[in-house]
This record gives sequence, structure tokens and C-alpha cells, in this order.
Amino acid sequence: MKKIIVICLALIGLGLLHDSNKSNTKITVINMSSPASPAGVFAQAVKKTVDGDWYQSSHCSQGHDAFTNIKNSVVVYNSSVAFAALNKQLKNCQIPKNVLISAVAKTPMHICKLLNGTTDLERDKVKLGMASMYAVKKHQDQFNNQSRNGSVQLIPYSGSKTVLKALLAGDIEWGWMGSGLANKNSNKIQCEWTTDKTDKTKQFLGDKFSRLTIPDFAINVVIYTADKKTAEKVTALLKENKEFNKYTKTSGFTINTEPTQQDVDNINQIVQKMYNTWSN
Amino acid sequence: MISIALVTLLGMLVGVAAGLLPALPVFTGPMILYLFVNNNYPILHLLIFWMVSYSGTQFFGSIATITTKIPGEESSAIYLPDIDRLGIEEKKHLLFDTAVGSFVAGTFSILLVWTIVMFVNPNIFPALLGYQIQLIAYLFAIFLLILSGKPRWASILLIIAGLMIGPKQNYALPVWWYDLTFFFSGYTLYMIVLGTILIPSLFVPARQISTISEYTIKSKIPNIWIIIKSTVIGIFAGIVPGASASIATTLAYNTQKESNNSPYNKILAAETANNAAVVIVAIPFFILGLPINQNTLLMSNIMDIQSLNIIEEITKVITPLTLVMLIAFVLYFWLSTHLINWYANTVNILHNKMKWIVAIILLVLITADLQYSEITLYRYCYLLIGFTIFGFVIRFFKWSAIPFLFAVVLSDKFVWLGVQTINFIVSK
Repeated sequence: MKKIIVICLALIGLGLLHDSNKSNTKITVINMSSPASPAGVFAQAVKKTVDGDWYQSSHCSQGHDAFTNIKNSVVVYNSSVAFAALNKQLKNCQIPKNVLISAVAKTPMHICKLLNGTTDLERDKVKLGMASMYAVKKHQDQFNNQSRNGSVQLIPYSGSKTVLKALLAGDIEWGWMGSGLANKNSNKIQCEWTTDKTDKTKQFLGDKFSRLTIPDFAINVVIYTADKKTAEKVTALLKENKEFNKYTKTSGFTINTEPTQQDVDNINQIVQKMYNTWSN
Repeated sequence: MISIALVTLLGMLVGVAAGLLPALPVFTGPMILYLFVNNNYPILHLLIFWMVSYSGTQFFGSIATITTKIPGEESSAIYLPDIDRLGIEEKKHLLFDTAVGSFVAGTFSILLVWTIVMFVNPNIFPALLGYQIQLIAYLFAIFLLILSGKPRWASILLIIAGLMIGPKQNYALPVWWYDLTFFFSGYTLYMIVLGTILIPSLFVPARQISTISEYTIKSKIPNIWIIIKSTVIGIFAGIVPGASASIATTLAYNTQKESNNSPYNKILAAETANNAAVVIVAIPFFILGLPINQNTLLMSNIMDIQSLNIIEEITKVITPLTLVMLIAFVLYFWLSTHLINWYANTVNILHNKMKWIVAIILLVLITADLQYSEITLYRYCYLLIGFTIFGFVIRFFKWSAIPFLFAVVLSDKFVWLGVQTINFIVSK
């Protein structure tokens, strides 16, 4: 009994200490995506740039809980996760009102096979690995409506990194992954297709798979915070940090450090469009 | 270089303390790492601290057992009744011989780990990360866990419970799973270890310490054949999921016969085998990302928290890690063959106060966990109390919490493999 009382008292003391320590000034970067996704890697780059702490949420609702608990926190929001949250009826995963946006960024996806891969995405029966939120039947049907002699089977993964691993291991013939990761592994894979209309080195997915409702898919990232000073600090660091600028160039992300409300509205519309197109 | 030396020394300090003092579990090293999980230390430092402290625990566990009859770590418990059958001269020789056995087993095992990581890694054989090999490895691990659990149905239930709460960022799961997450959202693995293992263990009565003699180490040429045979047993037992070190100890102990009615050789075999096993558990973790015992489970979780991928990183750090481990083994050998009386007296003095010392350490670790978890104090207490009640229930029925821990850590990967396998089958 004595032990239990002492432990309880100590726990109360720790609770008080816990609350008093909340006033630290270090920025905590909250990642609401999988560490395997391009947005997860982007969040790591943000964390490095602001020299902050790291919080990896189990899912986006939990990320929001952390955001309300941690004083100087910034959330790295991911439009794909926001769509998945709508689809799974998870609360608090959209961009909250009354937050300050430090930056928005986006990256297109490349669709790749092994260097010695012989299959044709249009014609052959292939397994195409992609992140689980949009590896759904409706998306798969849109691919298959256009394929002439074969069918595309979508296989769900946690993110681009795990898609790449499965591609290298020979589990799947094609992988849908962030352009940065794809470019980084160009010695192992070839990317014939892209969701980026402006990329003339690859075939735009919408040109051949014309029934895809979202052929220009991109991962949209929003960095937001509740505190004005933190928002300004993060924006300044993202603008000035040479390492971060180098990262954005190699990662395929285009970043906008002066976002307007219209930019945010556009991202919300994209999420809604994904929901209207692919939801269960 | 200085930082590596410092991390090595700290790891050795923790390893020696956890090895000598039974109240400190073998996974004290990774538990302490939770304190620093947010500080972005390089992966090499984390791995050095982890492996040095972990192998030290096993290296020094035998000293406490032989000198005070208090098992420094759980795998030594098997030969506890034999200690009284040894004369003081035999104990003096045994202290030296077990140090030789631990040194040989540890050195050989870490070189084997290096060889396998360098030449059988996914960069060379990408198929190692293919879903079929991964699924077989995971199913095999779960099968062995169920097989070694008593009763088996309890292990199955605990594994199912772990699989329910483990997945993260998996949007392939049905909506009802997300409703279920309401009850356990915000938990940390440390909280689970604390509730299911450590807090209940504080209420177990301490063993009585035996009379302590004066020891002067006596060296003789140990039986090399026993050491080699036990090292090989330890290597094979080390890849068995669950209590790898205990399995190695039991196997080596039981396969060795008594000589001249003395358990000397059996103890030597047991103490050699468990030192090989604790190093070998790193192999499935390093090349497949598959943690198979408490220590690797905790380390795997620390890697997840920092978003580090051990499979991607290990080839970059395995060589310096191996070199540090080799140096650590030499130092451990020297330390374990000297200062024996000091160790025995320290165990004697601290033994009855250990529960309080451990309670204080746990509270410090809870503070760190509370800081990291970033959930409200109310939610933290709710979850910790829940897991503690669960821990007491497990202990009441004399089940092992390992299948539950194992399932919690592996469930994310395992559920993904399951989802993908279903899709692959459908595609055929």
C-alpha cells in the first residue's frame, strides 16, 4: 500500500512537471502522414530546417490532438491523408480555420517499373502499387476502363518508399511514387508515366488513361501553426535555409512560402474532388 | 570519436548495472534510450548504446548469479539450484571460464552479424523484402511464439489483442477499426512495457541473497569444445522469437552432461550460449526489420519514433558498430574477471533497496514518456492504468506479456502484409 501511495504522489508531481514544461520554445513538427510518404519525408526536411522536435502521429486525428497539446507546434498536412480521413470518417484531419499557413507545397507522382521491366502499363495485366488511400476499387476501375487487353490491379502500400521496396523486390510490376524518390532511384527504375502535365520527358497519365478523373494527381502539403511568431519563424527559415532549398529542388516539391487563402481553398477543393471520385 | 567513446562507456555502465542487479531488466538499455528519443542522436550512437548495454547485461548476469545466487538476468535462473553444489574453488574457476565463454560467444556472434549484414542485405538481395519472404518470416515468428507460450490459446488471444491496437497510418483498414482506436489512441510502447511488465514486477517479493565469500579469480584453460558447441547452440536459439536468451540457456544447459557429479560444465554451456543469442537477435532486425525479442522490439519502436529505417541505415553503420562491440567485449572480459568482490558486495548492498531504485528510474522514464507522448495527463493516466490492470491480469494467470508486445510492434507491418497478400491473391 505504501508503495502505491508513493507512486501515485510521484505521478501527480510528474503531471505538474509535465504541464510546467509545456512552455518550451522549441518548435515541434507534427507529421500527420506515414513516414514512407513524400509528405513524411518533406516533414522531416522541415524539422531539420527549423531544428525542431518530431512528433509522428498514428493517424491524423491523433496528430490534431498533439497540435492542440503542444504549444509551438507546426503540422505538416497532407491532402491525401485529408481525403483518407473523409473516407474513414476521421475527425479533425482537414486544415483548421483560424490557423496561420507558413507554406504550401506540392509534388507530382511518377509511375515506374524496373529498368529491365518488360510490362506495358496500358496493355498488360499488371500489379500497380500505390498508397492505400487511393488504391481503391473506383480508382482501379478507371484504369481498367481504358486498358485494352489487360487489367491493372492496384495494391495498397503505406507510401512511396514501401512501393519502391515492393517494386525492387519484384512483388509488383509498376509503382506509383513521389517524383523525388523516383528521380533519386533512376539507376534502378524507369518512370515512363507521370501525373505532371508539364513534364515532357514522360507520358502524361491523362493522355492515355483519359477516363481517370484525377490524372494530374499531386500530393499537396500545407505547413500550418496556431502561433503568429512561429509561423513567421518557420516561413523565414524555409525561405532562407540553403539545405531546405536544395532539398526542394531534388525532391520534386514546388514550394510557395507566401500562400494566399485561394491556395488553401484550392487544396480543400482537391481533397473534396478526391472524396467525390474515390470514396467508398 | 569522443562521442562514440562516451556512448560506449555509458552503454557499458548500464550493461554492467543491469547485469548485476536483477531488478533492472535486460532491456534497461533501450528503456533509457527513450529519454533521448527526441534529441536526434545519430543512429550509430543509438545502436552502440543499445548493443553494448544489452550484451553487457548478459555478460555480467552470471557474476551476480554465481557469487550471490541472485540471477542478474532471467536466463540465469535455470542453474540457480546448482550454485549450492559448487565449492568455492569451483566458483572461482567458473567466474573466469564463463567470462571466456561469454567473450568467445559474443565476439564470434558479432562477427557473424557483420558478415550477414554486409553480404546478405536487401541492397544485394532485394527479394528479402518481398512480401512472400517477409510473410513467411512473420508467420514463422508468430507460430514459434504461440508454440512456446503456455497456454497456447492465451498467446493467440494476446497476439490478436496486440494486432488490434498496433497498426499506424493504415488507410486500407475498415472504418470500424478507427472507431476502436478511440479507446487506445495515444499509447506508447514504453507505456505498454511499463504497464504489462515493469509495474507488476515491482510487487514480486525479492529473492534472499546467499552468503558472500571472498573471491580471487583463478584462471585455467577452459573446455573449448563446450564453448564452441554452446556458441553454435546460442546462434541458432538467438533467431527464435521470444525469450531467445532463455531458450539458448536452457538448450545448452540441457545438452551438456554433468562431469564428476558437478554442474560446472552445464553452467559454463548455459552462460556461453545466452551471450551468443543476445547478439544474434540483431540479425533478423537488421536485415528484415523484424524484431524478435523485448530488446529488439523496443529498439524497433525507437527507430519508428525517429522515422529511421534500420534496413536502409544498417549497412552504413555496421562496421563501426562491430568494431566498438569487439572493443566492448575485450573491456567486458577484463571487467568481469576483476573486481569480483566489489560486484558481489554492491549486489549485496543494493539488492534489498533495488525496488525503490527501480521505482525512481521508472518515474523518470514515465516523465520522459509523458513529455514525448504529447497526450493529456488524464489520457496518459487512463491508458497507463488500463495497461497496468492488463499486466496484473496477465501475471495473475502466469501468462507471458511477450506475445502481446510482439504483436503490438509487428502488427503494423504484419497487417500491411496481410492486406497486400489478399490483394495479390485476388489479382491471380
